[in-house]
Amino acid sequence: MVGLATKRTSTKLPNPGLRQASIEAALKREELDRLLSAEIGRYASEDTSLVVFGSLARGEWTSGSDLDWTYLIDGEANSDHLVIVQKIQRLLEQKKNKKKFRPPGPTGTFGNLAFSHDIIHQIGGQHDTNKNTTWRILLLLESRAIGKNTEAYERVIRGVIGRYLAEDNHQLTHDLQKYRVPRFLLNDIVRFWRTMAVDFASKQRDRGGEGWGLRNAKLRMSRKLIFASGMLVCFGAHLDPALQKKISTDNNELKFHLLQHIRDNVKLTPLEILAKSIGPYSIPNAISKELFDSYTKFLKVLDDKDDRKALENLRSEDSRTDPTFKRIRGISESFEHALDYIFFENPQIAALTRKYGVF
Amino acid sequence: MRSIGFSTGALARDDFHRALRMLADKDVNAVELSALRQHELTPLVEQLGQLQLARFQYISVHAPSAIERSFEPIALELLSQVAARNWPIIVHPDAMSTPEEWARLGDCLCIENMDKRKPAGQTAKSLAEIFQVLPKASLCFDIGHARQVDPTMSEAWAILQRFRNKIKQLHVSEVNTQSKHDSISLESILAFQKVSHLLPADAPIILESRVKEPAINGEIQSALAALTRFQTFNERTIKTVYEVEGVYGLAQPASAPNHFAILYVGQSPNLRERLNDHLNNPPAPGITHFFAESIDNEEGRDLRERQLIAELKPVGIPYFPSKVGTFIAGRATNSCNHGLDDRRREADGEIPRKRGDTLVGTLRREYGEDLAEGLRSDARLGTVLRETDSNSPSKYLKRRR
Repeated sequence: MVGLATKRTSTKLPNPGLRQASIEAALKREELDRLLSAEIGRYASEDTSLVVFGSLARGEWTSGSDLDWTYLIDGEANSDHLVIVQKIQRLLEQKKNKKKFRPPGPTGTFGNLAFSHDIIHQIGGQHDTNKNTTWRILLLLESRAIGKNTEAYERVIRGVIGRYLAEDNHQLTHDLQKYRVPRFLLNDIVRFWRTMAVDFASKQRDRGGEGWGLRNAKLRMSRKLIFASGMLVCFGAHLDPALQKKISTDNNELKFHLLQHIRDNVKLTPLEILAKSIGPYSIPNAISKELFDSYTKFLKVLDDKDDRKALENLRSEDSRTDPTFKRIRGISESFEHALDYIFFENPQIAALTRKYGVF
Repeated sequence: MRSIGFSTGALARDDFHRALRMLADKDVNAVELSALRQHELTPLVEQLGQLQLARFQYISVHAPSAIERSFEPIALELLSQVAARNWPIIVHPDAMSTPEEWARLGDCLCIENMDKRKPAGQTAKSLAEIFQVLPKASLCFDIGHARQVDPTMSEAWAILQRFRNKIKQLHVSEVNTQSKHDSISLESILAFQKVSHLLPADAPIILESRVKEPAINGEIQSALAALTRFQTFNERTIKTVYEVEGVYGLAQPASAPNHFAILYVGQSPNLRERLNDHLNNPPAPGITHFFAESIDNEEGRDLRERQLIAELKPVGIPYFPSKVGTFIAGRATNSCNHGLDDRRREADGEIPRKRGDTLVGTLRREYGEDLAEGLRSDARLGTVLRETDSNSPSKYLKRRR
C-alpha cells in the first residue's frame, strides 16, 4: 500500500516536504477506503462515487486537516442513497474515527450527497448556488474518488468539462492555428476565486470572527493555489504545443482533444500543475524555489498543532501583532511574489493573464 | 447496401428460431446469433447447419456473457465450430477466464467494449491490455456501451482513434442507466453522431435494441440516422468546414425526425470550395443539409465516396446503366478473411466493379499512366467511356489493348 501511494505521488513535486505531504494524503485516502469497506462494505457503485476534496485530494494532508467528502450520484435517484450517506456520516462521527478524520466544516457543502444533474447543467443562472459552484470547480481542481468505484466520478468530471466546451462557440483562434483559452471554464474558475474571497468576508460576519486566522491563511495560500492552477490549465489549452499538433478539421474532434487535454491536466493536483508548468514556460529556478518553499512552509505551519491552534483562535483585530500570523503573512507574500512573476512577467503567460484574467 | 440487422437475443430472449422468424420479412441482411446465456450455446451450435441463413450477407455469433470456468473448454470447442465457418464470434472480455486459450479462435475472435458494470474493456486503455494478450482479435464496437461509460463520447472517440482499424462489427442500441439495451432515443442519436464519422463505413451494424417486431424497420432507420451527421446547408455553416480534401453528402430531412434523405454524394480536394459551389449551383433540388468528412488522400476519398453512395443511395448521383454495372461498395464480407490476394470482395466473391464517377487518376494507378491519354487525372470514367463510345469499362480496356 505504501509503495503504491509513493509511486503515484512522488515524481512530480520538486520539494521533499511537498512530496511527503502528498504521500501522507495518499496513505490517508487508502486508510479511508479500508475503513469504509470494512464497516460499510461496497459503499460506492458504478453510479455513485465517494469523492474527497480539500487537502486530502490536493495531496497536502496535515495533522489537523478536515475530511471534506461528498457522496456523488450519477444515475437513478434512489432513496437508499441517503441511507448510505447517513451510514458514512455515523461512521466518521465515531470518536475513534473523528481523531483520524476531522469532520467537515459547518456550511453543509460537504459531508452529504450531490447529484450530477445540477453540477453539469446548472452552470451560471439563478440555480447555480455557491454550493453547486464549489462542488463543480473543486471536482475539477481538487478532488479524488476513494476506492475502486470511480466510474461515476469520472463521468461527471468529463460531463462538466464537456459542458464548458459545448458553450464555447469556437475552439480555435481566427487563423485556426491554435486552440483558444476555454473562456467559459476560465470565467467560472475566476468567478469561483472571487466567490471564495467574498464568502471569506461573509463567514467572518456569520461566525462573529471565529476561525478568521486559519481561513485567511487558506485564502492566501491553498485557495489561491487552486485559482492559479485552474488558470494554468486553461492557458495550457492555448500554449501546449502537443495539443496544437492535434488540431483537426472536425469540430467534434477539436472538442474531444481539448476535453482530454483538460481532463489529463486536472488529474494532477494543483501543486503538480504548477510544477509541470516550470519547465515548458521557462520559469526561473529562483521563482520555482520561492513558490514551492513558501508552500512547504505553509504546510509546516498547518501541521504544527500550536501554530494551527493559534491561527484557529486568531481574530482579525490581532492579526498585525500575532507572531504566527506574521509568519503566514511573510510566507504568503513570497508565494504571491512567485505567482506574480509567473502570471505577470512570464512572456507566454502574462499576455494571457492580461487578456483573460481581468476583463 | 450496408450490412445491417439484429441480434437474435435482443428480439427474442432464449429463442433464436423465433427471432429469425421475426426478421424473415424485414429489410435486414445481417444477423447476430446470440447465445448470451451459457446454456444457449450448445443448442445454437448444434443447430447452425439447419438454420435458414442464406439471405444474410453477414452472420456472427455472440458467445455467452458469462462462462463458468469449468465450461470454458467446452465453450471453446463449440465456438471453434463457429470459427470454422469464418463467422466472427463476439466475446465479452470478462467472460474469458484464460484469455490466451481464446487465441485459437484467431481473427474470428471479436472482443466487445463493455458497459459501466463490467470490470474490464470499457476504455481504450483497458482494450489495449486485452489486445496485447490477443493481438489477432478484432473489435465489436458497442457505441451504446461507450456512450453509457462516457456520455460526452470522448472515451468512444479515444477507442475509435486507437482501434478503428480493428472494428469488425458495430453494436448499436440505447444502453440505459441499468445497462439494459433499449430502442434508440434522440439523446443517443445526438451522442452517436459526434463520432459517427470515425466508424468504418463498411462495418456491419447489429442492433441490440429490445424492440417488438413492428418496430424493427423503424429502429433500423434510427440507427442509420444516428450514424451520420448533418448540418444546415448555408453560407455560415459551410464556413465552418475547412479547406481540406474530403467527401461530403447533401441531403434533405426525411419524414421521421432526425432522419435524412441523401440527394448527392461527392468528393473534393477542397471541401469548403466545393460546398460553396453546390450552394450556388445545387446538383439536386431541395438540399437543406450536408455532412463532410476530411480524408487527406485520393484513394481514401474514392473508397469512402463509393461506400457512401452504396450505403446511402443518393438520388442525384448519375449511375451507369445496370448493364454496365453499378458499383456496390461497402458490403462487409461474411468471412473473417479477405481472400488470398487480400483484395476486398463482395459476398458472392466478386471484386467490386468500377463506377462511372471514378477518377481517371485512380484508374491510372491500376491500369497504367497511359490510360485515357489527353484527359486530366480528375476526369471521370464516365467521360472516358462516353468519349470512346464504350459501353463498359471492360470493353474500353479491351479496345485499348
